[in-house]
Parts: sequence; structure tokens; C-alpha cells
Amino acid sequence: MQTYLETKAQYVVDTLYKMCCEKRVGHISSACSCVDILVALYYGDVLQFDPNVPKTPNRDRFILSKGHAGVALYAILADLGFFDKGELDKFCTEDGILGGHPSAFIPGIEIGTGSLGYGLGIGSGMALSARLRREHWMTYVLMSDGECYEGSTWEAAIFAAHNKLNNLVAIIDRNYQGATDFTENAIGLEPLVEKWVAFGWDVQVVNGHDKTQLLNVLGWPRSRFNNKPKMIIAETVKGFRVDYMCFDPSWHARCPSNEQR
Amino acid sequence: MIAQRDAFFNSLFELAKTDKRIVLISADMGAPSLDQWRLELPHQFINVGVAEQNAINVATGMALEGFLPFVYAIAPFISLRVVEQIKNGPAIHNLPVTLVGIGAGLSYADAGPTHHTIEDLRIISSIPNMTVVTCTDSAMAAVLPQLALTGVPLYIRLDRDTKPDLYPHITLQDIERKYPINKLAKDRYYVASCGDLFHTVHTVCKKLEINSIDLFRVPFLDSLRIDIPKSSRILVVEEGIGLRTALLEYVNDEQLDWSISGIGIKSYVTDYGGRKLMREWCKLDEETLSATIQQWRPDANIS
Repeated sequence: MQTYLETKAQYVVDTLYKMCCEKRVGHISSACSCVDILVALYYGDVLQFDPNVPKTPNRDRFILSKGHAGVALYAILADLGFFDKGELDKFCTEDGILGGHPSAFIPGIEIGTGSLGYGLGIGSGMALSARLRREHWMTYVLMSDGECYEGSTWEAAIFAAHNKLNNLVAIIDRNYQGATDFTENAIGLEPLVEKWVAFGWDVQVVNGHDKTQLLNVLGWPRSRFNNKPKMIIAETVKGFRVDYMCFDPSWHARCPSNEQR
Repeated sequence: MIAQRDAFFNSLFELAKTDKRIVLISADMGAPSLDQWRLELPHQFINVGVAEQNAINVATGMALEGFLPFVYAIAPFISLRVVEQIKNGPAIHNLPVTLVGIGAGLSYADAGPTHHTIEDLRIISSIPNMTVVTCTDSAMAAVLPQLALTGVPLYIRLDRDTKPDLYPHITLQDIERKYPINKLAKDRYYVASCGDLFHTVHTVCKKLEINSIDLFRVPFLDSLRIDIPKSSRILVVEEGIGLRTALLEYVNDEQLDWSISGIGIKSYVTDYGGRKLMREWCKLDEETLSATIQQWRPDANIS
């Protein structure tokens, strides 16, 4: 399983890197930091889905709240057969369906994202819907750590905990970088674990590039062992697998020159 | 007389009893008409607290799952405060989310300018896919839940003041088809308004025997260009800013030759003393309006 996931992760990074460099758009480093999380979710038998029937009622809902990492998700959805792989070559062109941030018109995408601080609230609405209808699917939301600066994130955090949405799983891609600087230099987010615990969430911290750890915690909430919503803080490196981008915030929305590639 | 808000919620409550898709999301706002709802349909009442952004986001998530959410708060907080949530959720995805704002215009007079809503019509109607309805009377308020069930994103502006019904027999078909026109003169002069202020316009125009039209919804219905003849002159009277802007845009888009002028509120009312007084300051009281309208159409008769 580990080798399989690593192969898929490398495929995703290679694919998104090529897509972004060719079209000179996209957020390579932000996408790379969450590749292992996405791969674990989609190839590690965590999310339940059917690429042939993307809206199948019992599917798990997944929201990529950090929409700027859309390229990573596109590579996975295409590989799984949600849409034709040829779409990847048509990224950000008039003939294609894939844009800089995911839209709800793409098979496999529940809701268009791009503006930050939305996923947790919308995901809470979905999780509450499942609860009201006594349906068993889960809602997973992948957020950036930068989204913890948004007030709407904390509005949703209070709401989800109060409503005991134990069918809601949030994952923070904790890469410690925003668009311009390291988070703790800009406006400190720490102590992040304590904040989420204080808001009534069950929190687990994992190495966001360690597949064993990821698989262990991502499946964990499905058993609903208590009434709290689940928060997984995945510690990651922004630009992971693209060495020269790591630990350099200036790569947030930049594409490498031909020499750098 | 029943308040617009209570007429709206009573009617919605009746629908919600049998249509379990209907959920009311309140940003910590109550109403006498909601007490029974909370008792009888607790699973269809969601209080998100004073968290309007989350209210819209939760509504978006629920609408994606097939629910019909109604989000209720004081008008400025469920419009201006959440403009981007409206855009990125219900508007972009064309979801059946209904925003119910209580306190159109200067409804919350002495609560001060934070609670006045003079900009919402202009701002929300600038968002594609959004329909903005300014409720005129309680009879209309009772029908509006049905409009929401047609599956479009809506922003409904309810007034806090209660006036006798102008449209006691109004139906959904009326609301979907055309604007009420009081054709009292054969000429092509029309005074347009909406909401609570339309009652005053209606009274003044009746006395002066001038045509009036209630432009209760934006974007404008196709009937408008048919019902108002060529070369008409329209005076827009509004408790805020936005209706005239919308009409000017419509005239421009449709290449109509109507001449538009207007009176509204262009600055914040920061003093206190009640809505009646505030309308006098804004030149929107009955007496001043009457004089203004006569000046605008000099041959108006006082009957």
C-alpha cells in the first residue's frame, strides 16, 4: 500500500508540475504540500466514491477548501476516471473544464472554491444534512492553515461542535506558510491544537507526508466513537517533492522559469 | 393587521409542515411567529448564532444536499455583511437559498445607521443570479415563500412597519408576471417606488391623479417594458439607493427612451427621532413628496 501511494503521489506531483509550468498558472507549492493527504483520501480507501456516478447519493462529500491546490485534485480525479485524462492538457484553456480553482461543474467537485474560509461552513451544512436525513456518508474538508485566519472558519468551528457533527472531518494542511511569509512571522496561529480543542473538536496531529500515519487517522472518524467533529492537523512542507520550493514562501503563486525547471 | 414578518413566517410554517426540505436558519433572530415553529418543527429550525457568514455557508451546504434553506437576520447583516458568501455560494451555484432580511430602508429608525439598510438593494441586485424582492404589504409577504420554492436564489426585504394591505388578493402568478400599476392618468408620467414607501407614493399619486408603479422586484420582469409606454417619464422614489440605478441600467440595456429621475437617500441618517421624522429630513414624507411630484409634473391636479 505504501509503495502504491508513493507511486500515485509522485504521479500527482509530476502531473501538476507539468500542468502549471506549461500554462504558467497555479499554485505548485500549495498543491504539493497536500498531495499525500489527497492521495491517502482517494487511493487509501478512505473516501467512498464512484467515478462513474460522481453524484451517487451515498458517496462521501469532499470539499477542497484550499481551492488553489485544485491542480493536485484534478490529477487524481482524472486518474480515477471522473473525467477524461485529456482534460489535464487543456488546463486553463477554452476547450477544457479545469480552471485555476475548482468549479462545481467538474465531475467529482461538490462546490466551487477559491476564496478562503468557506469549506468548513459549507461542509457543516452538508454534514448537518446527512444527520437530518439519517444518512451515513461522511463529509471531509481539506483546509489550508491560512484559512485559520478567516473569521468564517471559526464561526463554522463553533457551529459544528455545538451540533455534534461527528460525521465531519476537517484536515488542516499545516505547511506553516501563507502567500508572503511563514505564518508564525506574519500573524502567529499557534497554539493551533489548543485552539481547536478549546472549540470542542477532537484533534489529532500527524506528519502529513507519512502515509501510515495519514491512513490511521483519516479512517478513524468513521467509527463515530464520540460526538465531536474531527480535526486532523497534518504537518506538511510547502512544495514537498519540489526541493527548491521548500521553505521559501516566495513560491506561493510563482511558476519556475525554464532554467529552474 | 399582521406584520410582514409574521405573515411571511406563518405562511412558510404551513409549507414547512409538509415539505421537509424547508429549513429556517436564524442568525439569532426570533419572531413571535417562529415560536410555534421551534416547538413543532425543531429539526427544521437552526440557530447559528450571530454568525451570518456561517449562516450563508451552512445554507449553501444544505441547498447542495437538496434542502430549501431560508436564512433570517436583520437586513444589513444578511446582505452587506455577507456579500461574498452570497456570491460564492447561492449565486455562483444558482442554489435555492432565500435570504430574509427584516428592516428594509429606515425600518430600524432609532437603532441608527448600522441598522438602516439603504444600500442593500443596489449591492445585492448587482450580484448575478440574485433576485431582490422588496415586500410591499403583508399579503405579499404571505405569498413570497411560494416564490422561494421555485428554486432561485432570493433576497427578500421585509419592512418592520405594518400598513393596510394594498394587494389583499395577490397570488404567486401576480408576483411572477407583472408589477402593480395604478393607472390614474392617460399621460406617460409614472412615479415608481417599492416597499413601505410605496404606500405613501400610492396615496400621494392617488390625490394628484398620477400613475404609480410598484417595482417590488429586481431584476425587472419582462412585463415592465411592455406595461410602460414609449417616451414615458418615470420618477423613482425610494428609501435608499438602488432602485433608480437598476432602472437606469434596464433602460440602457433594453434601449428604451424613458426619462428617469429620482429621489432617494444618499447619505447616512445619524440623528434620532423616529422614521417619520427621518423621512422628512430625507424629503420622503407625504407632504414634501407631494410638492416634489407636482413640481416634477406641473399640471398635476389636486383633487
